Amino acid sequence: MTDSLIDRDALDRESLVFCRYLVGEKPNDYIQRKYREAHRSRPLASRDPSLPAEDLLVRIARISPLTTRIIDSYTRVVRPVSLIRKKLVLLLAILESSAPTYKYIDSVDAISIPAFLLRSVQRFLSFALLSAVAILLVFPLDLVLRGSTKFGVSWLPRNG
Amino acid sequence: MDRVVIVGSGASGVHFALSLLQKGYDVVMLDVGRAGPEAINGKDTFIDLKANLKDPVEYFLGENLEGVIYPDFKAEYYGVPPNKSYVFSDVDGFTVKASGFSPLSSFAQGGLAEAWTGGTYPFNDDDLVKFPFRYKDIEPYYNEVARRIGIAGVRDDLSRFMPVHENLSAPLKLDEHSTLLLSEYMRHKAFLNSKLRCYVGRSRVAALTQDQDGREKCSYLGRCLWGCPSKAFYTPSLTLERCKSFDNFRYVSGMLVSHFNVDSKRRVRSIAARSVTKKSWEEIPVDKIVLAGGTLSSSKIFLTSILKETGENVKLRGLMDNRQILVPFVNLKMVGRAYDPGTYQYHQVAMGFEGDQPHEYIHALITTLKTALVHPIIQNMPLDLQSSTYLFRHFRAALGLVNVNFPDTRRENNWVALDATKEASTPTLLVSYSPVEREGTSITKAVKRVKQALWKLKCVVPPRMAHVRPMGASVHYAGTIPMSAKKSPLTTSECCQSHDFDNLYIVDGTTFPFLPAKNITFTLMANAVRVAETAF
Repeated sequence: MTDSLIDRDALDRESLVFCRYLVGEKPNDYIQRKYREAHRSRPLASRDPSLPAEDLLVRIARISPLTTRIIDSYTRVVRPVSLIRKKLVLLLAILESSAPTYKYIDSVDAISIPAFLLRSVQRFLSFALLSAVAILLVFPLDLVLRGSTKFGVSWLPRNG
Repeated sequence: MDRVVIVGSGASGVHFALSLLQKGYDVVMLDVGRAGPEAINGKDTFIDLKANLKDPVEYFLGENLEGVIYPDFKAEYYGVPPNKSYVFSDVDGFTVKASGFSPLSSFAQGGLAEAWTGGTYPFNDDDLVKFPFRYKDIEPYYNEVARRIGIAGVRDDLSRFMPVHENLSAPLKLDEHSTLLLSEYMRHKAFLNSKLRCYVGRSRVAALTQDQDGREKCSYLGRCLWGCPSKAFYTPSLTLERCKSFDNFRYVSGMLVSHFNVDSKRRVRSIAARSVTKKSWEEIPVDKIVLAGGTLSSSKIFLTSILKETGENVKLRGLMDNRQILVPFVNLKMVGRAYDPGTYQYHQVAMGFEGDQPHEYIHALITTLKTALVHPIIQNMPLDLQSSTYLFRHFRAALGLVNVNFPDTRRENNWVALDATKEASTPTLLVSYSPVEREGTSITKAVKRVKQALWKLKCVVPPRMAHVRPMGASVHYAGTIPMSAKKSPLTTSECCQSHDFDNLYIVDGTTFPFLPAKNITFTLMANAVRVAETAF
């Protein structure tokens, strides 16, 4: 396979998993196309491809919506401007602008205020727990990979 | 009759032009004149656009997704949609180097007010204390501008700060959130008025609540921010279109005016302008010249003219702008409710805070969040994006933003000048601004009052979320060649006629000797009409 096809498969996989993570549904062709096109634009294309730590975070995140959430929680605390967060924000921007996914973002669940508050507390706690787990598991690896980059060692192949 | 050449098609320029055209003058308007895109899908609501457009992402985020705000975005966020980016796009030959100031300029047809939020608040006598005229002198022109553009509003508690002029039309329909804020105000009015000296009322906005001059009344499509397709929301390009219907009007776009040339009697004899496409220079003869391109642009033309004529690099002192503080809040009564995009999108409610001195009045506009892009907010919440999105959906209808505006005075250390160190046909404009002493203290006090007032309205301000915008962000620039009753250099007469060049008039904010906290645009338009009616 050519590099561009590998990139395309990787990006489609990302948009599929990240979309399920963000709005709980699969992306349509339009959303996947816009996500791919966006990777040709400057903010996402200008990253340093030799930075294996960024690649590692993206690779883990695109395994499943759960790993996306773990990596998202980790980067929210530790690396808020990382490549994976940029990708997620980009997809969120596309989803809020497109049908049918805008409907989820524009809607509220029909629940009582106490139920909403309870669910919010659950969200905070799970975020704290996932961040802590991710910091324990991912942070050492992230640190090592970033350190290795400084010395010119690349442990992972490039990917989209 | 004299041939009058107006530079710039912003709020001041178009209303000045319309008055002269109605009086029979031959009017030429020189402008860079970038045009905006045509409105699309005129009957679609904001939500319909997402569902019906072939490429909604291009519409909402731009062709190159320039509307996506990434986590490493550091600049001041103005929330200008991609289809309005033309309003702020640069032009070759107009460069500004600023210190303590973040300047914005426009070279669009209609100028900066093509991206305004429609606030139309007349100055009262306290605001006009340093002007060489009183409210009664400008009132007829507020009435006239209100008739032309259509202003919705009512007499209420804010009228103590804003005179009620003629031609106010019925107010716009309030959204649920704004209705709640006003009803809480009525419950706690006594406390707010006496303890916080805070008054709350309806915003006055340049939007139609009845059909007028081929414009349809507001149909609550929720597209104000994205460009009103029914033209219910006023922008100066509408008046420019009206001017174009006059036979005695010539609109010359694609021209960037550099300077004017003066004869031995210090009268302007011609204008030097450069074609922005052909890069060629043209000299345009004038009988009378009217600068209306906005304070920075008019100042630059004035300074360049003096530099070319005398070799002298003059400094124009007294630059002003409103300091703005953004205070986000959550209305507890709105949490968990669905947001309604089918409403007027800009501020519907305003707050006024009395100052220790009458001219220290603080003006605040309350915007209830609806159809802006939401990913810039969600990514800043302190959780993962999935949880942040979940919480945001249930808080969205409860979110609001108070935009607090402070007055400004002319001070010696705030100035504009030309960069004389470089030999160039179009020199760079230098801008220097330092805030008033102890500004931090007055900001802290004002924000505290705003927070207390919001608390009374059942709203809470998340900690450390108030944001002090950089000077220049309000784009209410004024004061570099002020009106003065005394005839002295670098000033104008009460009629905005230059004291340096007889046939030069300046009808934008350049001539304002004081900048109240209220939005300046309505007074810019009224003052331009005043000058056209009284000096021509």
